[in-house]
Amino acid sequence: MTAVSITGLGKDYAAGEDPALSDLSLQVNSGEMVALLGPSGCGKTTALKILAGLIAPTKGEVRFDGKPVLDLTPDQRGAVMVFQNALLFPHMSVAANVGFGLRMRGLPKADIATRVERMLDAVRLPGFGPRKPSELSGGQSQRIALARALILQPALLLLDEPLSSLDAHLRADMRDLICTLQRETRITTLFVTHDQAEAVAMADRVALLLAGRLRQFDPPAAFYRRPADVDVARFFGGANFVPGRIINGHFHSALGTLALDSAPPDRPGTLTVRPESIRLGPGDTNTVVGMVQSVQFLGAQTTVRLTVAGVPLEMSLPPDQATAIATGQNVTIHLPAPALWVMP
Amino acid sequence: MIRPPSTALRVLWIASGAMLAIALILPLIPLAVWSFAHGWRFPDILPMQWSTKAWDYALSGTSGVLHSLWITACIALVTTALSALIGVPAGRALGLHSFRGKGIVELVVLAPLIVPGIATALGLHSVFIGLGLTGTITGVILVHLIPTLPYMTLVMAAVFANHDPAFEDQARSLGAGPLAVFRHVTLPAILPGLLVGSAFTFLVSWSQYALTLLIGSGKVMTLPLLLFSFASAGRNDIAGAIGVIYILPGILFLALTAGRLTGRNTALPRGQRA
Repeated sequence: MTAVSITGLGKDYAAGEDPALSDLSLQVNSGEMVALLGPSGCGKTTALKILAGLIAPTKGEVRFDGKPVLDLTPDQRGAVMVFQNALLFPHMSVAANVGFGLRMRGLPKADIATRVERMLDAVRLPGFGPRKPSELSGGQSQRIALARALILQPALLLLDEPLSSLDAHLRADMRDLICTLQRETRITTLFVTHDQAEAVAMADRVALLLAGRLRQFDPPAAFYRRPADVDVARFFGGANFVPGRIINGHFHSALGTLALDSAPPDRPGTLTVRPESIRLGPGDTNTVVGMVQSVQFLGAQTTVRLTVAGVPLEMSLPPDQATAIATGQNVTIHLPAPALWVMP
Repeated sequence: MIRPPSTALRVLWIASGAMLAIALILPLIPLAVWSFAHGWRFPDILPMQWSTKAWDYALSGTSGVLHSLWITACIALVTTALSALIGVPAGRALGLHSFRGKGIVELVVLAPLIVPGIATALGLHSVFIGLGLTGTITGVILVHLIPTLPYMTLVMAAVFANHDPAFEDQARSLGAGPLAVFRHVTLPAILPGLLVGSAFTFLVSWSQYALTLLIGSGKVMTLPLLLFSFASAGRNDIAGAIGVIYILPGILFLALTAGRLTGRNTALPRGQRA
């Protein structure tokens, strides 16, 4: 259980093959599970390798529980990284793989053997010790790789795309296993992913990196309700963006004057509202009329695209509410004030 | 990033294996016959009389064959060890990294195989005289590195091209120091390739004649020098016996490494397939 403080961490492109990272600052609480989310090539893995001590940053500071760690070698700082590929040492048995770190620490053999056995139970692969890595499936390899890291009871666990090498049906299992073990051990965990659904499902907080920069660091729900800017909203599948200006706690735009829940100061901004938050029919305030452009049935919900005073809006409706709606029709919709969010 | 496994090493091995077989095993027959012959004149297919006199002499202390064998083996072993010490890191750099001027570096590594070694050695001779290295085993070992290093470096470059350094990062992250990483992760991965390279290096050093003669000034009597002096003295029976001893390591390496080298993976796979 270690609090991790990252300040102004950066890595230049020229220094190596790893994607650049510029000015990352994060405060991770002890025992927290944090997702580093971003498209590939945005420097997530670079950040993880810096924390693990495998590469040196060109600038910045990393502290574990207040102590600077950048001068420490990987074994001294106690951050253990699990790579995207399981990377089990092929010439060693599963037990030797899991016990590798303890062996490096010079623990007695008998001690290692008991701990390995216990760890194999924890990742639900009891009795797999004598097998060779080549005899394991992808999901089993990944679980052994996780066991090999967890057995060291690291101060910080770093997972690089822990689910991406697995088939879809194994992902949920692995995800649950990681979450369960993390909750039991309370090991501070940072994991890298490009999949926002994965980040949202697993993490206590999500750090979104776009183009090597931290754009937002919040609990998952905030990315849907309160995105920091248009790019963040788009990354999380946001659809409706209306440019305008806040005046006296109201948003003035092509849609007319919309009441806001809070009273932000006057400034220009872009309004966003989740498609699923838009309601059919009139409300007390914020009622507008739009013309239906298309109706698309997607199974669990129906997507209705309409234009309101020339502004395109997208709404998601339960299919039973959408049956009466046809292209070319005028419909009255309601934009609930608590669902509206104005980004700078 | 998964690269297809390099077949270069395999082709190199099969080709060199076949060449070794032709170059070493066929000449063995007349050599062996000579070593037991007591007079063998032109039209006869087999000698008139058989004898073990040549062998008795070759294995006695007075002939200097056993001493020569010892010297030759020591030189070849030390040359191999030094080649590995230089060739493994050099091959790693060439196999794993791309850098500016890599083509030139590769050419320079290959150069000793292109430029005749004797030409280089003639130039080196005067330098070695100045350093007092001529006529010494040290000098001979150093000059043997000229033809052996390219083999070791190129074989190791092919091995490392198939090697995934992420395994080393993983080991380091699990708390292994640099030496432990090499011993527990890198070495097991490159060992088969390292054995091939060492076999080549040992055999190239073992069979050096001109370089040894030039730098050794005739004072460092390796087996090929001894063999040649008996052959040119017309003692075909003794030359035959020494010849049989001389080709043993080649056949030994062939037998020991053949199973290991025919197409088995020489490095850790890139990534772990699911």
